Amino acid sequence: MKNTFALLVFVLLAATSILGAQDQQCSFLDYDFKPNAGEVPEEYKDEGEIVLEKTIKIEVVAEGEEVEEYLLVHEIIYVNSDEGIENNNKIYTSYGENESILTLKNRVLLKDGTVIELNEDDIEEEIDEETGNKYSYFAVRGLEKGAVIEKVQVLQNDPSFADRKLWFQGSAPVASFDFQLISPKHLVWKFKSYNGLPEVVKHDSLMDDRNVFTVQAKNLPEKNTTEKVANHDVHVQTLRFKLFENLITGARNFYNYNEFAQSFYDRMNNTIDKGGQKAVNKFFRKQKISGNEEDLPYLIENHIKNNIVYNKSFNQNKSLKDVVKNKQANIFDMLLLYAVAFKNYEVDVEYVFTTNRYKWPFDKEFETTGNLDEILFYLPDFDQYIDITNSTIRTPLFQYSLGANDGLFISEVTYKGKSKAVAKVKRIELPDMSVSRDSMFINVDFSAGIEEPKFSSRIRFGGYSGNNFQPIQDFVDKETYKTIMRDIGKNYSADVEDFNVVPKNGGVENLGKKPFELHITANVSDLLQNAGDKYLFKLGQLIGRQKEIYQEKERQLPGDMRYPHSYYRVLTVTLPEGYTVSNPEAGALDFKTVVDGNTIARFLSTPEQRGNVYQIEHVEFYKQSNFPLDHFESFRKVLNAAADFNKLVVVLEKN
Amino acid sequence: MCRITKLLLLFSLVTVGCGQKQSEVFQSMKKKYASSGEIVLVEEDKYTIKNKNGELQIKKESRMETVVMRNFAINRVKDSYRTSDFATVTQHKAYSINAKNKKFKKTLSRESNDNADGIFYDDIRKVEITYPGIGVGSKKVLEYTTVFKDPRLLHPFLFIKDSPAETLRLIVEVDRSVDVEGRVFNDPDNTISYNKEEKGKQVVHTWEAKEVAPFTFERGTPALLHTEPHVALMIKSYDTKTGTVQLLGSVQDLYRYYWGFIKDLNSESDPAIVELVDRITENATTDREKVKALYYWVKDNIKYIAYENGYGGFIPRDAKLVRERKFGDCKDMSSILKEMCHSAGVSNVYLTWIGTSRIPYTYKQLPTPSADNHMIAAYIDKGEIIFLDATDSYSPFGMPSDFIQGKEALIGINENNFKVVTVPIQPSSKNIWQDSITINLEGDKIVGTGNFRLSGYNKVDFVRGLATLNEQKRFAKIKDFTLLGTNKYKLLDFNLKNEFEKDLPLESDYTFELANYLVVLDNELYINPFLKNQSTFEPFDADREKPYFFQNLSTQNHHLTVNIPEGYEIRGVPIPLTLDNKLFYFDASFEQSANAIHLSYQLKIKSNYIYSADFETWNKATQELKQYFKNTLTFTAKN
Repeated sequence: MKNTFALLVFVLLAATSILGAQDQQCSFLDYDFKPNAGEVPEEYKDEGEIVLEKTIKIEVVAEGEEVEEYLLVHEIIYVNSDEGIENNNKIYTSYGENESILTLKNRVLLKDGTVIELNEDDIEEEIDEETGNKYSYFAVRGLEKGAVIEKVQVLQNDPSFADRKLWFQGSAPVASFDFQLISPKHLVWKFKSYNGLPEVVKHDSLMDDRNVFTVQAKNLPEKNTTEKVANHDVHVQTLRFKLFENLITGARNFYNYNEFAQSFYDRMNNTIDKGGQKAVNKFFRKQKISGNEEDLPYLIENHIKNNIVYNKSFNQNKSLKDVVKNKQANIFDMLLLYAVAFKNYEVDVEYVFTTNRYKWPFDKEFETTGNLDEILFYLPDFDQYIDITNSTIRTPLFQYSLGANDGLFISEVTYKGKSKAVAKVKRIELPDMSVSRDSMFINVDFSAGIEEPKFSSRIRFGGYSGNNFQPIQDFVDKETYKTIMRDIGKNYSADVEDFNVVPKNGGVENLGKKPFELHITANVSDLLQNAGDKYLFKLGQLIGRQKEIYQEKERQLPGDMRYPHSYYRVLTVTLPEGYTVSNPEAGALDFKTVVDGNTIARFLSTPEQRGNVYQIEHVEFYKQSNFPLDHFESFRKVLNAAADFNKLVVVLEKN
Repeated sequence: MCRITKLLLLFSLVTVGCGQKQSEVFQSMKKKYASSGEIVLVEEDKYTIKNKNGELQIKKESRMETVVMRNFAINRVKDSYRTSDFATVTQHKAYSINAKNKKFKKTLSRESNDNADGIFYDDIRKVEITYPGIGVGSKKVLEYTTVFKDPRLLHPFLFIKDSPAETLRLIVEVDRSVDVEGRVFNDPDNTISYNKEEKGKQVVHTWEAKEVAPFTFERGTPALLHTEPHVALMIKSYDTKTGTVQLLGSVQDLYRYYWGFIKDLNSESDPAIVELVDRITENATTDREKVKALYYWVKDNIKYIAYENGYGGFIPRDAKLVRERKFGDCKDMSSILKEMCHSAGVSNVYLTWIGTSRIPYTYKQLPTPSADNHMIAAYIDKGEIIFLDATDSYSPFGMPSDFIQGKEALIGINENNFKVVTVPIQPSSKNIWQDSITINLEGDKIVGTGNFRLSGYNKVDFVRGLATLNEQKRFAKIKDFTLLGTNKYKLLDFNLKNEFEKDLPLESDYTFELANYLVVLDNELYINPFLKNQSTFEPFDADREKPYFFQNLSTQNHHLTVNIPEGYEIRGVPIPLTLDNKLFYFDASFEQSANAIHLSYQLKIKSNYIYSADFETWNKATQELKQYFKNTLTFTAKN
């Protein structure tokens, strides 16, 4: 969603009004291939694929009363592996409805000096009818190992100054990356470099009538995509910038939150009409929702999600009446529908705007409407969020990618009879670890004989983990559901005989109401191995496969566990009369991560042997979703402890 | 892979109206299908084939009615169909009727390209319909008309849906002067009824299935068309004033059609190819060596990028263009390879049509373009046929690509001559995975060294998987492949050899550590010596119905040496085991030497398919295998 909400309330460019500025022309319209682009420096000749040079220029120019934006992308890539060829022999350029490609040039420079230029007839075009985006694409002729491919693209873009991000690292290493923003002198910009990218340098004398801002980066490694339990995308070197001020008009602090909040608030209030309110009343009256006061948020959300489908490109609704009739709603329809519903039920709301933290976390230091891509409702009286676009989630859960993140909370205050919007940046906390808690009660009973262990397990999946399973029932046929449940169940029992699994509380209808459960029974003699007069029993397998970070070089990225969660497990082994576990202490483990005196993760396993009963109790938790790099080692130990326990073998011996 | 693959996917959606009100329809279906989210009330394809003065006019009217049965299915607000230059949808109508009989006529439709199956560019477009007003009890109705330009390219009709279906029906209404045949596949229980009715100048064929259970997913099945019931149509001939025009019906007819696509291929010679061929074959002394060198050159230098626009999906491109582009699809690679071989003076290399393992038919079973989806070249050397598939970059000369084994190849010799031959299934002795490991038990840890060798398809598959990985991902893949015991396995080092030498086995030495595997008691050590996970050899679930498919026959040879730790002695070794049946072979034995225990075992897959009749054999044998794999070695401290 490209600034969807910003577009909702802003008529953008009073901001750049260039009153008084002189007409200018883009400085790179004649940009051409680089002479000697085919020369590969000796030091890179053994690389499989490397971007030798990458230049991106964005130029903002005044043309008449308008502001135009031009974009240049120039790349010289050395390709010396099959993988490199596959990554570069198909080129796609996408651009918006009101944008155009001015130059699209491509050539391949072979080792023997042959140069193969793009034939215009090779270019195919495509329009995405949903977004209006256009694509030009072509296959690159003549590419072979040892070749250099050079691309030049000049586009005339829709000016967009609220929040620009430029990622300097990608799937191949980059030897040299030059960025320039060329702008009329009366426009003031704010920049921020992330993850070690050099700061912007301003040049006011490179061009007479324009400022040039540059960033140069050298020898950038490829993006880290291999570390486990990490949020890879947000750790690449990135430049972010936005327009801040227009010195001619004196207007400044563009894209600020207060203006956004007030415009948004006004727009919401102006759009809600009596007809709409009536339609929503009727919609809720028809199938009355009833329940306890504290269930109201769930009941409202559930009623809407059970009846109205979120369809981001649905454009046939002119009013809320249409929404109720067509039973489909786009994001704005949904916003209105929920807003009216909450108002009708006298539930106070705050609108929360934020980002998907796996794409880009909300940066409270960089104020821009570009941080406002996603929306939630916050209900302060209940301390709960409502996720209006996701049909398979119910409060208190919401997409975890939006939590553990900051957000802009917009609420209403009334002063002397007048209402207005107030905007505050606050933390969006994910539901705490007790919500996403899995509990497992595992029993292995050898009463019938040492070679006939009977196993039963009751697993209750809370919060997000249950939410992952519950919708499955509704999306597959009965037989396939049985197969999937069997597969999930087998993870908690290994491949064993007489296996039976009974799922409980599956289906969307149970979301947010009842936790998902699996009841498993089996004969687990497959986990038993005979070793002379003793028996080895793979008890650890019964907790299921666990996440692990066993094999890793020095850790580069902090840990990301998606959401706070916890486990409680009790494993009870009833042995035949006269048997004991010879290695009871093998089940004892205790690891924790402590940050500032606060234990944020722990795996504690406590075994106990009483008569012929061997019992292990587990407490495992991850209090937060993020784990800092400087505590990573201890965090790794906690996580790996559960995976280690999964390998526990106990030795059963007759006294 | 060519466009036919995609055409096969375009099983048309369709149907028939009935006078009942939607509220009543819903109530009656609710009793029958209580737990289903959605049901297909009817899906129908009705072909009308007319012979207008010696010209065929073919259209297909499709209709599909789906009823939303339960709340969660209200999200399924979209349907789609595909249109292309050959089968162009000329009109569509879509609407919904809710449980209170209110009709919603205004739907949204959106067109997009549909370059599926790795095709870079083609003319197939997907049109997606969005229905408003969908609630429980709503019926979605989609109707559209497709006009066919080429009478040889009709769509098959599949008698299976993702949801339960009340009625699935294919109707062909055809002028008597046109000979049409529908062939039924995968319907051993005759669930598809057939009726033929003569109506004046026309004949009406109807295939119909009622109350069809939904498609169920099972692991490892062969492709859909091998197991699911369907009808494939072919127009065999039609009469004109001047006589009968023969279209399809025999392999000869199909070949005549295909010849038309290649007759003008490479009619002009390309001096650059001649020069290139000379360079590539300069060290080759025999024809076979020349073909091999040229085959490897095409594999290594022409990348797979497929343009399948219109007849571009059938007609190979000239070698000159392919050479310049350095990319092409299967036909283009075959074209340049054939041309290069001919240029090198080896004329017995031919273009060859073939179906991949996704296609179930022999040419006799279905002599239409649906019987194949791929092109290769075939080199006939003194009666021996060598299949050359340049789309598979890693297979060695002399081995076909794995996905065409057991399939029929249609080798185009010249205008009037062709050969249909079966590509041999490569024996398991060509596809060997050999692993030799020596381990030491150090404290509570295992440390060891290993060496693996992969030949044949085992190598091809592995190297193909490595091709697009960066360093870290390569490491992870090799770690997974060599993994022993549990995921606590730590790969320390490896040295991969012969990755790009197509004729040599892939080989690597490696070193590793494995913690938390060995069980250590006061004076005893236990270790299960079957360190490799053999998850393929597991019994099937009791309710499995569909066959299991192995793309390749293969052999595993494993050798493990466990050095007896200092101060310990072994307390006996397990007895050997041999299992031999028509599906697989297993043989294991232990030996004891002065300081070590040696385990050797072999596992050999003997059949590509395991059909339900053989499930019992499979289950019994794999059960025994599982028991055997539980054997443990016990080392006791010497007193």
